[in-house]
Amino acid sequence: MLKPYRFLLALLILNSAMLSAHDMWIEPTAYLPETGRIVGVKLRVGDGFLGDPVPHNAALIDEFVSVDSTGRKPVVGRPGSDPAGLVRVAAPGMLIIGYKSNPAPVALPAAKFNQYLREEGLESILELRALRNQTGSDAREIFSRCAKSLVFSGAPAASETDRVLGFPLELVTLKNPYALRGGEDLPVTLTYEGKPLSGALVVAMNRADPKAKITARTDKSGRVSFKLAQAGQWLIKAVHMVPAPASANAEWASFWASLTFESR
Amino acid sequence: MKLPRFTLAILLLFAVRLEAHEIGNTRVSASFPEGKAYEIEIITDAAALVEKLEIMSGISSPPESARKAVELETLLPGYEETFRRRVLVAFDGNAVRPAIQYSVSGEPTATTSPVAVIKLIGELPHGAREFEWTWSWTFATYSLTAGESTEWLEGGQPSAPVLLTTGRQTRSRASTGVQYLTLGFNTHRSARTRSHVVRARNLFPDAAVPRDSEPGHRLHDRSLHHTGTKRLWPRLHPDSNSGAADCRIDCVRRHRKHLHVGTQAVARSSHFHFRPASWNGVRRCVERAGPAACGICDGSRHVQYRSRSRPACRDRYRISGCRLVLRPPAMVSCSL
Repeated sequence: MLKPYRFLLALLILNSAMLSAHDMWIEPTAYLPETGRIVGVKLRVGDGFLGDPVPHNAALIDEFVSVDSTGRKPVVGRPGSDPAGLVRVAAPGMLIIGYKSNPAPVALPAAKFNQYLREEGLESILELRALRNQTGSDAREIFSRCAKSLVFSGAPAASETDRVLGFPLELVTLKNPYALRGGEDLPVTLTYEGKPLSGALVVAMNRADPKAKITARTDKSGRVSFKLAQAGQWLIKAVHMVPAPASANAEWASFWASLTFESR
Repeated sequence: MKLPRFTLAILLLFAVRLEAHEIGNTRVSASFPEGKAYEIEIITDAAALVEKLEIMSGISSPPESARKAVELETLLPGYEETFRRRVLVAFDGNAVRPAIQYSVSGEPTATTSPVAVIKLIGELPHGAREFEWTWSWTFATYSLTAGESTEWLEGGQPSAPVLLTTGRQTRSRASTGVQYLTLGFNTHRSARTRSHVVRARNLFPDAAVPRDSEPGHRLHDRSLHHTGTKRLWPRLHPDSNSGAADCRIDCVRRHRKHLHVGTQAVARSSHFHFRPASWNGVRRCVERAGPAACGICDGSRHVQYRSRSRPACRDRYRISGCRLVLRPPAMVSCSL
């Protein structure tokens, strides 16, 4: 049996795992499926590509859609099922899967909230809290997920690109990541309510080495560029926070954008 | 002086500390048979757990590798030391090192994933009074059932101490109320008893939903008694045939904590997970199996009144669960 102080140490180590805020992303069962194939759409919540399945939950879903050359369709799924949805790849080309959640409340102790603001590059909110003498106060927040995934079927073509789904916070690739040549950068735009968001921290990570995060701040046009040297699955993410509307019974409203795809 | 319930609810509403992520599909239950041993059962998505263990060990697996249960069961013990780093079982503040058993069942399909059942077992330390638990292999909200209480926890969040003598957690009614408010809840008014059923919202009791299941299908557990498990089993077995497993069953109990042994036998042999009656944490009792607790949802074509021949479809609130049976044509012969 471990001694009490070791138990406390173990607790501290275990607790450190939960200090960071959690991302949500989409993991399709195949990023490069053949046309006509059914692709499972898994929702994952976690950190650094370490994720837990989130079953289909109609109460949480605001929009769960797929967009391809044939149009925009809802992603179907059974309550409680994982994968949360199924999509048929109807046509060759880019298939964009999007998930937007309803706002959910969360309350965090001051220390944890401040740490999460620092981790997600939300220094402006830290400053705002300091100005309001709220740094030591617990925070109530409503958070919304805005997850996207790019699936490609057929021969990659540079003309096939990402599309805007109209999510509050949205990452949009300006080039087809499946048609990138070696050493080419992937430009990405971050928009908030349809307008470019400048100064936001955008993080990219590869599944094979999620700890090696590539970070960049968006410029005035809301753009960042990443050199994706490594092949495999990529997750690009960004968080934006604004004061919550008066009716929300919270001080802050956060939006969590993510984008997943595979590079070759 | 007792506070009026409404006032208490309002107080709780403003005193609540919310901290919740999406509800995942992990469930943990702890039992302490005869007060001499402990057995903690973790039911979770096997592929997701192995994936996390692999990433933590510096191994990456492609998303298309839908691995079979046998493969996952073989892989899990290999990561045991990594696994232990994020699990903490403690009695009276002292961590213990349990023995671990792994089993994985269910094959990956378009709608289901293999389910891992991990048992942490060992002997209770002499004189142990309190049990504490921390599970950091999840980032979602999960349930810990210990004794008669269920606590909703975040990954990495230590559980409230559970008193081993009574099997009840040392939690106040207020904190239970907070849990309900954290998760959100729905109330259903029971037509016969006039009592309100309080349920956690967005809660999916099954770690794995069976293939070809029909969501929301519920049966009163007397239906299981009526048909008998021998007749029920082939209908539930996912591999019997395509029509044999077309419903998900929430087994609603009447005043009992545990499932009927026959039901348990079916649950053990299949990929189905049966849920005992809703536990009303505010009232601290098992919900009565009134009509609200055994609502018949859409798609219940195999359920009928015991005394009638037509199915009891699309009526959530006015059917007495005691009178429901499975329609004989819904049975599938064992020979199929």
